[in-house]
Amino acid sequence: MLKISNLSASYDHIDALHNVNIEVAEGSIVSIIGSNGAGKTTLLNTISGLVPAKEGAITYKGVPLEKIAHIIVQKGIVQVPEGRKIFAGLSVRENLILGGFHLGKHERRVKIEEMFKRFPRLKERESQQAGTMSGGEQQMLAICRGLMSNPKLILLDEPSLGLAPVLVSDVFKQIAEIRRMGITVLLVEQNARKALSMCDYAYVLENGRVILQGRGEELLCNEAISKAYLGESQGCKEDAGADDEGKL
Amino acid sequence: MLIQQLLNGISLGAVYAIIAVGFALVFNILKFSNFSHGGVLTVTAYAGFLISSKLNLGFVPTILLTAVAGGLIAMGIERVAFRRLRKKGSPIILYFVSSITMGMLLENLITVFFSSNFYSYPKFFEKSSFTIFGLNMAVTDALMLIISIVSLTILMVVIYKTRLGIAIRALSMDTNTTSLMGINVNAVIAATFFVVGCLGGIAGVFLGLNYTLYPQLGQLIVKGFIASVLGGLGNLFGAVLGAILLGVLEVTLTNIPFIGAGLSPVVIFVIMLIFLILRPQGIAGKIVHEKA
Ligand SMILES: Nc1ncnc2c1ncn2[C@@H]1O[C@H](COP(=O)(O)OP(=O)(O)OP(=O)(O)O)[C@@H](O)[C@H]1O
Ligand SMILES: [Mg+2]
Repeated sequence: MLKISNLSASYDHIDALHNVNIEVAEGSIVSIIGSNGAGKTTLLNTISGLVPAKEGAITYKGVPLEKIAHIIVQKGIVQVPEGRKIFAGLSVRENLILGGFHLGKHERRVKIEEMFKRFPRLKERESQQAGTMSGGEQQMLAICRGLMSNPKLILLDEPSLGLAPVLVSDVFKQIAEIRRMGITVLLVEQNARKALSMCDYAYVLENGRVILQGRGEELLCNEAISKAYLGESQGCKEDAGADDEGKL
Repeated sequence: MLIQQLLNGISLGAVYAIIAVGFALVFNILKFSNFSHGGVLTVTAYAGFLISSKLNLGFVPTILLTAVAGGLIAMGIERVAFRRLRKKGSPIILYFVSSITMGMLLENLITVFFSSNFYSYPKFFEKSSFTIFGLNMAVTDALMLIISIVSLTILMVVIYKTRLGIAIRALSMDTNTTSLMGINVNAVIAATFFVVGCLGGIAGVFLGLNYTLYPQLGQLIVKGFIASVLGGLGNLFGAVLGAILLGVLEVTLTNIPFIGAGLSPVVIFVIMLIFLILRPQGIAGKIVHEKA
């Protein structure tokens, strides 16, 4: 569905991505893991058209992807940015309206009701300022706002960042649910164990390069990965069980 | 007497409010003080004059047509002076410089085409003033007050109730995330400038009526600037409050014998400085820093 080939990107003089090759199959969950500053956000922003690619190509459904941010969304690729970036001074409903900005009035209304059904909490807070909600509620809003645009591919940038463990599980349940809705997921996560145990395929990004890739379970059992991202004490078999909830 | 002064002050403040709100809107989304708005005031003051005298139109059609003209001019300014800066991610100071340059350019174009002669609008009304509840009011003042209230109300409805308004407010908070919503940021900014230009056009006609026409008329943008600083930069309600306060203050000061029209601008600036020392965020604002 999405194919990234030989992609490089940089900020002024800092190179952030080198020669990255990534493929996302339709209907799958693909995750990107990597430490701080590895270039994960840059990768998503390049796909979303916020950061220009220096070299390389991105094709979406077999054709080159547009380079203009709002058109990319209208083509069906939406990003839920790192740190949620909800519009704090706007109401919950207004945030959702923005998410479905290019939809027709009627469709937008139907979508909003759909989101409210999914998260009754949001309905209760419909006209409350979004910035006054808790971190978990804000994350739900950010995801719903992304879903409002009827995406075919959703890019999630560290959706579990800064959430309590219970809420982290909730977020991962939502991700599984999103896939079940037929939406393809590209997931960037620091919570590598959870991400790897639920995804179909994963890439490890370091210093702007893909250093490792493979099926989720494979990487979970990979020794180098365990050392660097999972904490070395646990073996791969146990985690698979311990993290079952994430799989649903 | 006191109430009479208050009324006059509010009428004057209503004109300042239209200017200040246009100023505040641009500050809101692009975070710089847009002095090119002064150029829009000058050009539309003349445009309104041409529209009314050459086409022989009445007051309301003149205002409407001039508002549209102002909107188009402001959109043009955005296109020429600011869009490229945005594309390159230029620092805010360049927007500021660019806007001042644009303002001067428009002012000088008017000087070239109309030289520095003074013109004045045709007389729109038979009677120039009327009396109500023992208060004397100029017909133009009354109309300015009404039209200001109507256009500010429409503006608030647009900003707080429409989809465009939501996008404008989102843009003022976070440009990148707004574009991640699938929103064409350039189009929203262009639309905002159109709205701002419409307000400028209305203010331009008012200024032309009040002061006769001269190319430096647009420098009254300073009043809008003071008002929006008093109100809290970028805050629309604050800008309106600041403008009314400024209008009332000016009328009052002008009527104090030893201050008069000559000294009142000085006193206003002193008051503004004292006010800003006491309350730097303005009447209604949170603290916002211009990033220049
Ligand atoms: N706007 C920017 N201007 C300059 N350099 C940037 C910018 N954004 C990111 N970088 C640099 O690019 C590199 C990759 O950053 P990026 O944000 O993509 O990493 P990340 O993998 O998302 O990290 P994190 O896990 O902390 O979110 C870093 O070295 C960072 O300092
Ligand atoms: Mg990141």
